[in-house]
Amino acid sequence: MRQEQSIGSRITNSQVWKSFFRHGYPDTERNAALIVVSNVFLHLHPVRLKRHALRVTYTFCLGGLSFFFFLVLTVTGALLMFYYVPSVNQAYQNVRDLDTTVSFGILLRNMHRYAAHAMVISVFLHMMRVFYTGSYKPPREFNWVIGVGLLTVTFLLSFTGYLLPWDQLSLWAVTVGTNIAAATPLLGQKVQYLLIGGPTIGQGALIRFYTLHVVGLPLVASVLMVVHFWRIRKDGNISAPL
Amino acid sequence: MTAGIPSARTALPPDAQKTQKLLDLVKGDRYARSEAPERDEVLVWPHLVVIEAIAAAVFLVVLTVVSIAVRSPLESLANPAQTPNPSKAPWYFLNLQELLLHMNVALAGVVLPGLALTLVATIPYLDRDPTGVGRYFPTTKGKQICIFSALYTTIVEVGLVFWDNTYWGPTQLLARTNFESLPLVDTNKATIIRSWIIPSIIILVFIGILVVTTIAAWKPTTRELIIALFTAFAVSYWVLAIIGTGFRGESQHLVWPWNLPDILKPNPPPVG
Repeated sequence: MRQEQSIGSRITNSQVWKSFFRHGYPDTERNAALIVVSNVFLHLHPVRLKRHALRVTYTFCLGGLSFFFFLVLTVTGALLMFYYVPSVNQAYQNVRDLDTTVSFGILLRNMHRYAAHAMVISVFLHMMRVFYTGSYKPPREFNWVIGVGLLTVTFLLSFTGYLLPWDQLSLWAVTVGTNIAAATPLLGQKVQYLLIGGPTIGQGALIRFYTLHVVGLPLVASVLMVVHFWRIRKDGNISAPL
Repeated sequence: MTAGIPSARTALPPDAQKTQKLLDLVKGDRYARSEAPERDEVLVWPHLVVIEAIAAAVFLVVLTVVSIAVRSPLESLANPAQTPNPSKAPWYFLNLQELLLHMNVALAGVVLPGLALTLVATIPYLDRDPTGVGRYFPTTKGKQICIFSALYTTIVEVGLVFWDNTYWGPTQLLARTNFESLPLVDTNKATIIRSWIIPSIIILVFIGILVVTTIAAWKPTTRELIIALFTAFAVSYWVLAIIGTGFRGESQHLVWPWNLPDILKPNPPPVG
C-alpha cells in the first residue's frame, strides 16, 4: 500500500525547502547544533555554552541590547533619511514635516531618538558589567580595548545626530560640544575647523555631521562590532568562573 | 569554537548519517575553560536564542510605547544670533560641561575625559591577575571597596559642587586671590594657576584620599584598587551628568529639577 504523503511533508521534502533549510526542525541535538553552525546570523553563537551564561542577572543582556538598539537605529535611521535633506534651508522643515504630516513620522523620530539615548546607557552599563565581573582579564584584554573604542564611537554617533534637527536645541548643544573640542591644547582651532568646516556652525558643519552620522561612524562601529563579536567567540565565549 | 566542535560531535546520535568534519585542533587549558566542560553546558538553540528573542521583543515594545507616549523635543529654527539660556550639551556630555564650570575648558573637556578613557582602556594591562573572572565581586573586600568608592565619590562630588557654588568656594576664592602680585607671575600665569593647577591639585588630592584610604583600610590587591578607581570614574560619570541635567538652570546656576527653566523640561508642546 502506497504511503500517503501529507501536504506538509511534501513541502518539507521538496528541493526548494531543503535548499532553504538545510536541516530538520531543531528539536534534536543534532539539528539544534546544525541550525547554529549553518545559519550566518546564528553562527555568531557557539553551539553550546555554559548554563552560567544564560543567567540574565549575570549579563543583564546589556551587550545584546546595545546591538539591538544599534539595529533599531539603523532601520529607523534609514527610513528617516527618506525625508531628510541635510541643508540648513530644508533640514528643520523636514523634521517638522516628520512631526506633523508624514505618516508615523513622529513615531519614527521618537524611536530613533530614544533608542540613541538607550544605546548610550546600555553601552556604558555593559562596560560596567564587564568590569565588575572581571571579564576583561586574559584572554579578553584586547576585546576590552575594542569595547572602549565602541563606547567612544557610540558617543560620537549620538553627538553627530544631535545636530541634524537643526533647531535651537541641536545648534547650541553642538556649539557647547565643539567649543570644548576647540579648547584642545595646541590643536584646538584645527580640531574645531575639522569638525564644523568653518568658523561657526553652518552648512559646513551640518553636512559633515550628517555624513559622519549616516556613513562614517556606522561603518566604524560595524567594523569594531564585527571584531568585538568575533573576539568573544575566539576568547572562549562569554566569561565564566574558572 | 573550541567549545563547539568536540561537544557537537559527541552530541551526535551513534546512527547519524552525517559525520562532522574536523575543522580545527586547539590546545586546551585556557582560562575560559572549566574542568568538566560537558556537565554544565546547554545548547544555544533553544536556550540562549529564546532569551535573546524575548529581550528584543520586550525592549521593542517598551521603545514603541515610550515613542508613542513621549514627544521628542523640537524647538524653533536654529539661530546663531540668539543664544538660549542655558545652552546645554547632550545629557551624556553634561558631566563634562559640569566640570567646565570649575576649571579650564581644555582640562575639563579634553584632558580629563581623554585621560580617563585611556586609563580605562589600559585596565587589562594594569590588572594582570587572571583569577576572579565570571562573577560579580569574587572577593568581599572588592565589594566593600566598590561601595565605599561609590559613596565617597558621590559625597565628595556633590559636596564640591555645593562648595564651589559659595563665596568661599575655590572658583570665587581664586578669583579674589591676587596671584598677579606674586613675583614672576603675570596675568597668563595667574590664569593657569586658577584654572589648571589648583583644580588639578584638588582632583588629585581627592583621588589620593580615595587611594590611601582604600590601601589603609583594606590592603587591596591591584584588582581591588582598580575597582576603587573605576567605580570613582563610573559614578562620577553618572553623578555629574545628573547634576548637569537636573540641577543646572539659567546661567548654569544650581536649581532644583522642578525649578528648571521651561526650555529644559521634557516633553515640550509641539512648536507652532
